[in-house]
Amino acid sequence: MKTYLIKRILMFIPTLILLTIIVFAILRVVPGDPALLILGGEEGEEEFTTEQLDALRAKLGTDRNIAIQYADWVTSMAQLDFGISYHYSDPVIDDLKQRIPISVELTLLSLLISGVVAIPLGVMSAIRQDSWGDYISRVITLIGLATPNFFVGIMTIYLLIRMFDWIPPLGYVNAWENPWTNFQQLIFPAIALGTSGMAFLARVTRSAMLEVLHEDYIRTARSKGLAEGTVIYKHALKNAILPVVTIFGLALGNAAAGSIVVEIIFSIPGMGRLLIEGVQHRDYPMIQAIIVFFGVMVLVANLLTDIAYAWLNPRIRYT
Amino acid sequence: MAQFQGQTATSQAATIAVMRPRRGPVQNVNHFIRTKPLATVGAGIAGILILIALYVQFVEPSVGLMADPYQPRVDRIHASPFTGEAWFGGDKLGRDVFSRLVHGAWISLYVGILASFFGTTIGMALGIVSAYAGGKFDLISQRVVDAMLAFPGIILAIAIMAALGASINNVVFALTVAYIPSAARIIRSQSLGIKEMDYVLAAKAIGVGNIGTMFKYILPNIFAIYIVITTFHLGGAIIAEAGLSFLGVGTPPNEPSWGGMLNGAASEYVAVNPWLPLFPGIAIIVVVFAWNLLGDGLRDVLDPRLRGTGARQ
Repeated sequence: MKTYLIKRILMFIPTLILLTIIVFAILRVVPGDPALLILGGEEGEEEFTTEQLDALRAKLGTDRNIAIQYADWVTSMAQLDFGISYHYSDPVIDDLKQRIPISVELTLLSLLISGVVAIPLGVMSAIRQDSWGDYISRVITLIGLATPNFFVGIMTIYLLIRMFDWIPPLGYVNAWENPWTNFQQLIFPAIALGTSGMAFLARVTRSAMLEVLHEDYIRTARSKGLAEGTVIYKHALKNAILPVVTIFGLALGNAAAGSIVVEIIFSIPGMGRLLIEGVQHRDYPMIQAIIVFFGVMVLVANLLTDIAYAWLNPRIRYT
Repeated sequence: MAQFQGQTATSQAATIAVMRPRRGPVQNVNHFIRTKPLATVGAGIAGILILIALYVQFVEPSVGLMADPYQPRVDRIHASPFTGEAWFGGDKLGRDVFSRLVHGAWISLYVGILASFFGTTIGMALGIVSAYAGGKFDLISQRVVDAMLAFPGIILAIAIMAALGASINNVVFALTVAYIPSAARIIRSQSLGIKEMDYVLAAKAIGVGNIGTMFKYILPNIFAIYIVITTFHLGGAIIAEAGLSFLGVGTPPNEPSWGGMLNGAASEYVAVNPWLPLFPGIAIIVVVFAWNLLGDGLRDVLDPRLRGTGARQ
């Protein structure tokens, strides 16, 4: 277990470095000179002098070698300094500190909702394979996979307006300050977001469960006369849940990416809105910080998943 | 599977030939239709969509049966559907929703087909070379793939769009890049197995070069998986394009993209004109559903090994 842990953590470091190089290459090299972008205004209509340009380049540090700029960017990020926002003119970290808890709460709540619905649904579907229930749940999950999450979000708002003449309170209130308002604000966005993750999770659970149900030890358990409930929950589900655990990183990533769209629809001031506003204002330090945050979050989730998997499944510890 | 291996995988093909008679292409299609009715329906819907897209792009401009999808008209602003001359009503600027919906088929398919084709093809090339070359190249390219896979969903595409600016071809590029790593990962793992097969060893023994081995002996055996991955990526790319355009960072807003038609259609428009988001939303669901059904069917027929990988029908 120890060697596995060390190996796995050592693999994490080069991936993390490559991730920052990719973000740097996309957002620092491709768009061209940030000083030009700032001075040129939104549409490149502003006028400025060469001295101003040089001064700003020196201030932003973009007149230096690109490798030095990268090293500088990474070292300040390691100290949680993400630079100054072009648009808000305040440190990016201040905005992130405000927004991260909101998006994290939304994402985790939606994962909880998808898990609570999808795992029992997948298990039921597998136990009663080819029954009507299985058939209906398969069609629903197939349609779910084809439904964009923004459509689910828009329809959720529509139904809330039509049926209850009510929309969730705008903005965001901290759960510690006012739990009820916080719940009202986030529960419907989380349901809309969770619905998209549900289909995927239910399909994975179903196929994992089906695979296990065809194993020899299940037949053995049944033939020695164990109750069907014991076979399903003690023998089958315990083994089937492993592949479901391994997709946690993927599910978390999907939910986080989906949260961008849902935050826009429900006007939740989270990371997703900050990212899209950043794109609209060409606020590159902000975009870079948010993209790196999402990437690192998935990397850490994958790392934890792998460690949890090794801990749950002794078979892979020794490879 | 036999039809994709051709004369190369003689040993496998011979075994399969003993078990079941070889079928020609017509019998294969007939067999597919009989055994996979749902996938056939999917293929039918996908085919109709392709015809519609080709029609609006190449025939409609000279025929002019539909209203101009770009033309705003004051009397059409939020017009109700099924009443006036505009079948599906008008949007917030008074553009014909039906016309925009039909024209949107071209954008969806253009982005979907190009992004899934380029992404999966480049991913396949990287996967095969990575598996075949092994060593340092494999190690480094796989870490790059790891890093790219860490960006969830459309986030990498959003970053690329932020750098390049909104345009249809930039969406194609952004989604191509986004689909390379997953294709490379799957095809690398499949190629690793094929690389160890006897027929690859035999090819090397008779002096076939590295490039020849990859093209003639590994590629044909990857082709089935390649088709399946491309089909699934196509559905994904249609949703991703819609998502980017919905967020306002994909196809420019005046273009009739299904995602763009849903943009700004949230709470405010839902109350005024609930039909507005409904039509493009349903269009996306039907089209992606159809491609996924087709992908499921193709996977079962072409590569039963993939069945256990979480997307079992």
